Amino acid sequence: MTNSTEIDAPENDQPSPFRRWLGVGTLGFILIALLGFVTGVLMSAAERGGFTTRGGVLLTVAIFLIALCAWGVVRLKPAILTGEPQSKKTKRANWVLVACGVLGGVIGLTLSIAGLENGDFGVFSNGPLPPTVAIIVVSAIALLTPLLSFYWYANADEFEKRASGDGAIIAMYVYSVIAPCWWLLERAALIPPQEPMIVYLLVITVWGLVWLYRKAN
Amino acid sequence: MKNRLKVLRAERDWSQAELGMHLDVSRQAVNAIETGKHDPSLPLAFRIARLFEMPIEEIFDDELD
Repeated sequence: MTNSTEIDAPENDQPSPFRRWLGVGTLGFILIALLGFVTGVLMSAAERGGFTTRGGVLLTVAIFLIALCAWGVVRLKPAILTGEPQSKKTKRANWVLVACGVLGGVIGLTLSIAGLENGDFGVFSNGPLPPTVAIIVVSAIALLTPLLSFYWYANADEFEKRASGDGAIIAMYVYSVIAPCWWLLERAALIPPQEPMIVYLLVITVWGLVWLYRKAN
Repeated sequence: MKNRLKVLRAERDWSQAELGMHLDVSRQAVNAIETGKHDPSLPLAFRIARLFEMPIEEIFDDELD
């Protein structure tokens, strides 16, 4: 059998696939969070009619970090940026994942901006939200998530589907432990009331990590 | 499951990504099949066999013999 380094030399001259995918995912998430932060600072400055010294410093640091993250994403060479040959279906499936990231970013920005009315920057805050914003975001989630999921499932290959499926099963097990345990401990007044978004983020994080791990190992 | 995919690919001087294009799967899927981490479904195994114009059992070895 031919030595793998001879055949795959260009592909091996990169970080391991798991590190690459994890890096791109983490940097992408930080990038979206930083963009939300910058939007918040700019909106706040617009309301006050100018920047405070602290706001200006934070904005500069955030812009520097955005540039750093963007550079990091390019350095990690995701297939979309390297022009690696891909079948039409693989391209479509990958673009759906990008669209999901963009959708998440737009929803995050919308919630950040809407929360500013109450002096609240948090994307995952439990603070009050204007009904119009809530209806728009809920409509986007309820309509686009199933459509994107269906389109992704129709285009992803069997290996990608298996990786995603393994992640979903383990995430479901995690949920089936966290939800009742938190509920029982809360009833015994041992921990604060259940936070749906914390549970959601934990489940989604487990799903994503297992998905990436199975895809790269 | 052991297979000769890497050798057959090397004989045609294809990269994993190029083989993925021919099979309509991702480069990661080709890599997982080559390294035995993913056993292809029957339809994909047939696509591989047709692409290389060989019987499935000449490409894949279930190691039962």
